[in-house]
Amino acid sequence: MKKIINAPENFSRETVEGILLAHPDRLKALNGDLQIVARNDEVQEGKVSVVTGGGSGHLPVFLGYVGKGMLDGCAVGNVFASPSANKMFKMIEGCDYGNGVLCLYGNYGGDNMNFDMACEMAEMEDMTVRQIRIKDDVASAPKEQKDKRRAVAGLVYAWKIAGAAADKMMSLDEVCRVTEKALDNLRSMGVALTPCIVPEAGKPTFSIGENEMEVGMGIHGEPGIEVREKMTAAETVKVLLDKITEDMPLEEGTEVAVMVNGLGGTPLEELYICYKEAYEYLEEIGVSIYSKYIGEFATSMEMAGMSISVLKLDDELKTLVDHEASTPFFTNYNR
Amino acid sequence: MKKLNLNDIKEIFRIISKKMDENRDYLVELDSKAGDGDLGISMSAGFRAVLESEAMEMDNFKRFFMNAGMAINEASPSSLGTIMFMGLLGGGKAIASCEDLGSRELGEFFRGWADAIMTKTGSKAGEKTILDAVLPGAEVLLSSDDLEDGIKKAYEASEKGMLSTKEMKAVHGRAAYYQEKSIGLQDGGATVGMLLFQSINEYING
Repeated sequence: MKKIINAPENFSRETVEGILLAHPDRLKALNGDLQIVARNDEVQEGKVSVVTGGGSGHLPVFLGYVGKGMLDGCAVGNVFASPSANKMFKMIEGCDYGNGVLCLYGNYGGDNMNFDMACEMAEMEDMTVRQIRIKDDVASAPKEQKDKRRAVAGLVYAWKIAGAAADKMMSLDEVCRVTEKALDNLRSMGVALTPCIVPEAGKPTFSIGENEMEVGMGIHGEPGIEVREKMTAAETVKVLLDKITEDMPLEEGTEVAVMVNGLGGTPLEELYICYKEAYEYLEEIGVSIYSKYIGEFATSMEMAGMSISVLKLDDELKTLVDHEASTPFFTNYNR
Repeated sequence: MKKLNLNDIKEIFRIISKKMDENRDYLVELDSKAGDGDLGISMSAGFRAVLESEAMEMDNFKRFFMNAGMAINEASPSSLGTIMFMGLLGGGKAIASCEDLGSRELGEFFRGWADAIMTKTGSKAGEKTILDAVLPGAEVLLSSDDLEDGIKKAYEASEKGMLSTKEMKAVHGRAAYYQEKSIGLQDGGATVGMLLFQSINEYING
């Protein structure tokens, strides 16, 4: 293992320490707890709160999206491990402005159970909480079992839409409605070229052959659909978009938001090559790109690879995509 | 011994913690064949955290089990750490009004423990989980009037349940990605379930 770290067991904590030192005007550790990150800027009175939580190792996911127009708070776990229910509860409690809290997080076993417990604890304290799970990865289960699908980079679109809705002072019911609508119209899929190393494990916990690509691999190295011999950018993008459009047909004239996301070890140049391929693929079927994000949005440490997310837009979702968001890791000012 | 009071339960948690330490590497080995390999570490850290938590100062079952569950979940928010929290919370609620626990009440505790987990996770018996060891044990306790005899037979039933997971196909968690390949492997969670009964039996019957 070659990583620029100190003690492996301090990896998550020291990451958060660095982030808080860099952005003290915008982020804070609630009650000094480095596992609970919340906004430190001014929040409009009456706003619904949108929060999340999950393991470390995916920056900017999860805490990188805490900020204006996106998330209000985030519970931070160890690498690839859910935070505890109690941390989530404290986070929900600290981010509750009295107008309802939406817990919007990826569909993973540990996170699901801990948020369930945390919400039960919050309800016992008379807070109004809702939960919505993000399940955008088409490769993780067939359409008939889409409730089992896990989350990948589509997380960012879910937070973008929910966060914008909350920032526009929509009610909790309305925030949930537009979020569900966005999730119904959101699909992602990725490929991985190399494994990643959990610092405390010290070595990769799975392997990918030198000439192979794992098609559909999850952001913790969960097995995908198939292992294939390595492909060109054009072939790779075609495999991903074929699967996405098979799952969610895109009629001619549709407008979409597209994300080409690097998993951590893939250069930006390659991501732009993939964007070109995606653009041409979509142009070919008469679909136009209304908004695009190209870069690293949801990573898996040093894993090389890329994912594509597609969000089908209507007028309401377009307004929410356009709404200003600004966090230390994300802004749509210039996109 | 006819009944268990709260002090007995606290002593049993000391035994459970010892068992989880002793079986740490064995559980890691079982878990790394299909899961992510942290089961032994999380159970060992989780039960040790109970002994160092406020739970040990609580004076009623409900508060003890709630605080014990929170301590386990806090120390190890992995899947089974959280499941243990759900279970202890549900079990504690089921016996909240009891002064002490005979075989039936202990059975009600485990029944409540399993019900809470099944409701929250949508899991059931036969899916290669901790339930496959705990449910058979609970049934035996519920049908017995004698704590010493009941727990001995419940322990045997939980062990049999644990062994039966070898023939089952995983449905939940990371192991589910391995489906058919999981057949033949003994479930780590069920092994933890058996260790709970083994610990109680050891405390009662020596």
